[in-house]
Amino acid sequence: MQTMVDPPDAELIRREEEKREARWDPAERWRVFQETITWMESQATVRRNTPQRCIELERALGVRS
Amino acid sequence: MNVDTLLDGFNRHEVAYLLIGGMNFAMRHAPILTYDVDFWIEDTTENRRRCERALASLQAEWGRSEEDWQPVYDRPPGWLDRQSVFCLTSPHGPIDVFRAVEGLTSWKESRQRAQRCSTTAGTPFVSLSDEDMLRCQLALPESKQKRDRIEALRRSLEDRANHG
Repeated sequence: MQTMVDPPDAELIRREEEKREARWDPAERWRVFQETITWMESQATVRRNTPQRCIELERALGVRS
Repeated sequence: MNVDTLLDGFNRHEVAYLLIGGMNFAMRHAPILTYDVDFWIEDTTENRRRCERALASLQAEWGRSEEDWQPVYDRPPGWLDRQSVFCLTSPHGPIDVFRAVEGLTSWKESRQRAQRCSTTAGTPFVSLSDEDMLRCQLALPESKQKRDRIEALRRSLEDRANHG
């Protein structure tokens, strides 16, 4: 059954975030930050200068070796 | 944070969701710093139960207060009914669950505009459309709007309009 709630107001979001901050172990948080950066690097939208991408750019620009 | 694990948990439990927020923008447009994964779930009783099971399988934790914080696995079904947003922790990264989103009126309509995408590892996810990402940004107070995101989304929408 579809229910309807109002979108959360800024105060509720702030309280939820503060609660989580308080309960999030700092060492665990640091591990998650590092993992996130590694994971984001692995995503296609983030990678720019891969060998494949450089070859494609070279082809597009008509560069000859 | 292993986003694949989080998405896989929601997919395996057949949660009707849309990926929203910074991670969705980062996956579709440009890298930005974001340390949680935001899900907008279809707000039906059955879907909330599926979402509760997915969060339990991901070893997520939440509490009504700091003192009440505990694994959601230990909570009786129905705990997602109590409010419109939840900020949780999990060993795979923080998770935000929204039952409603400012600026967007209908989950079903947003789902129709959404795109099916996948991560580099091949994990599928349903991504909030650029139109709806822009609506979310514009619904925020001006001081909270992210100008760079708004410009990127407008450019993307203009490109699509110009090139089909």
